[in-house]
Amino acid sequence: MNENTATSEPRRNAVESWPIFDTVQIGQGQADVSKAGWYNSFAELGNETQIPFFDQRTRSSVGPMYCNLDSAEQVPYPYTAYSIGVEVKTPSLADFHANFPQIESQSKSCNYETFVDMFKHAAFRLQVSQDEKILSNTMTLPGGVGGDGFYNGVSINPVNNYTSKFNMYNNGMAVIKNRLRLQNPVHIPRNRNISGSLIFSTYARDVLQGLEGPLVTPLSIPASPATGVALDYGVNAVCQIRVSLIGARQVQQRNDLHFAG
Amino acid sequence: MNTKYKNAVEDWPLYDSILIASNANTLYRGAGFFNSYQELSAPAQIPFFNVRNRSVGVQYCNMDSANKMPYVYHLQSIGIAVEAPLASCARDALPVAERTEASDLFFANDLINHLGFIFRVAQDEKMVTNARYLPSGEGIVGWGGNQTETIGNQFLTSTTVTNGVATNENRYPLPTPISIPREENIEGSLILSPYAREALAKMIGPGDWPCISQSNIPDQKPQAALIRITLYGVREVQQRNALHYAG
Repeated sequence: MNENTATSEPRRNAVESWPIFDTVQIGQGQADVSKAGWYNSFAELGNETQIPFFDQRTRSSVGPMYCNLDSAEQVPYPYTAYSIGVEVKTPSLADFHANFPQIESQSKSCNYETFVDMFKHAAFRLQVSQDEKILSNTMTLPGGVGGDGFYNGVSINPVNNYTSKFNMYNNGMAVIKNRLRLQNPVHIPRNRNISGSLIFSTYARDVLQGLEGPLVTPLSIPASPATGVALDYGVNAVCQIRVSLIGARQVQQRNDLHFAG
Repeated sequence: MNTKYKNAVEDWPLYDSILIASNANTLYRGAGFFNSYQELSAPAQIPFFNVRNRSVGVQYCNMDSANKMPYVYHLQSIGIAVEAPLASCARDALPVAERTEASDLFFANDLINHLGFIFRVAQDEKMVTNARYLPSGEGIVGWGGNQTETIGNQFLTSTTVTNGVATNENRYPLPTPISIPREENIEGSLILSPYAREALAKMIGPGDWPCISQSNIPDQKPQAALIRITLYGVREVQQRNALHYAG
């Protein structure tokens, strides 16, 4: 074969910075999302002994905002993980407009604080094939991302007494370096399967099984407390558990900047 | 000619923004701007870096061309800022249904959890992630106390919510920079999940700033929410100025 032909040239992988992440959502109707493995309620979540990650969902099954794996079976490229993080997200808005019975009854009992607190009683395990690479309490795995800031609401109308409550919870400070650094990176060979498991303690599962919600996130106020259905001015509240690896993948060289060999 | 040309490397951020404000499309001439949160719910994807150029104003975009990169660029970090107005309207002189703070807060802190981001160089996907993983390292920080008295029957709530802690180093790093050849086109796409679109369709706002005119007549100006995507890196351009030598 002519050594100048493309097929004879040596192949070299390019290294690209690339995160891998996967999300579990909890909220009314989330269990109906096809091939997602999500949950309708905190109680459903509490029924699970292990919540699986990285081997259930794909980018095409749930969308690239929730998972960026091409395959749920195996990683299609060699991957080196330099850090890992577990995030928990709850809706910012709850108890938002007291004294509007339709909203209050559907948003007040969302119990977000309790849900977040249960992550003190959870562990996460990462496996490459059958090999346990990480097993740690989730408090040791800060996500390094999330909202930051301040909201000061008002209580202005003495008749309706609107109140504004705003929640912002992160697993650790939302600085991207605030993650568990793997001084000895986890190397994942090509075509190998990875899996993660979030494991709540018996105590946490007991609490979650008795927890109401998530219910409704209000987005505006009904014109009258006596009219309207909550979902007319809100959406079903959704909580998220997101696990991410930050690292680098090796893929075939592309583009003009790469050289052939 | 035998003269050797050498590129100079310059630190050069690139950014592109969408503005969401009443009449943003007409009043502020922004290509691809939106007049309301509700309007933002219509597209399944929101494109960046291939729609606008600096003609929309250098405050919002510093691309020379919307079609291709005029220089070689080495991208070292990406950040996405989602910013609601610093103050939200709470006006008891108007129907309570026009209060916008719930929508503003959802936009500032919840929406991004349901946004995907894909960055492409030509047709090549260089980044596929949830937008939350790309903290911008930017934003207003501080604290604002609201008052209990009224100004023209208008109340303001205070919001300083940012995507991650607003320190410049808090951005998604690319230890292996993404190198973009000259004259190549790039694109960033924000992808809205069905949940994000449902929520946006039900949101009201952004509202108005309450302004007191010089004649003491209450007036209103539109508040603006925005999404700004920033690329930090270096560009390679031809040597200029006396400090450079010819070869």
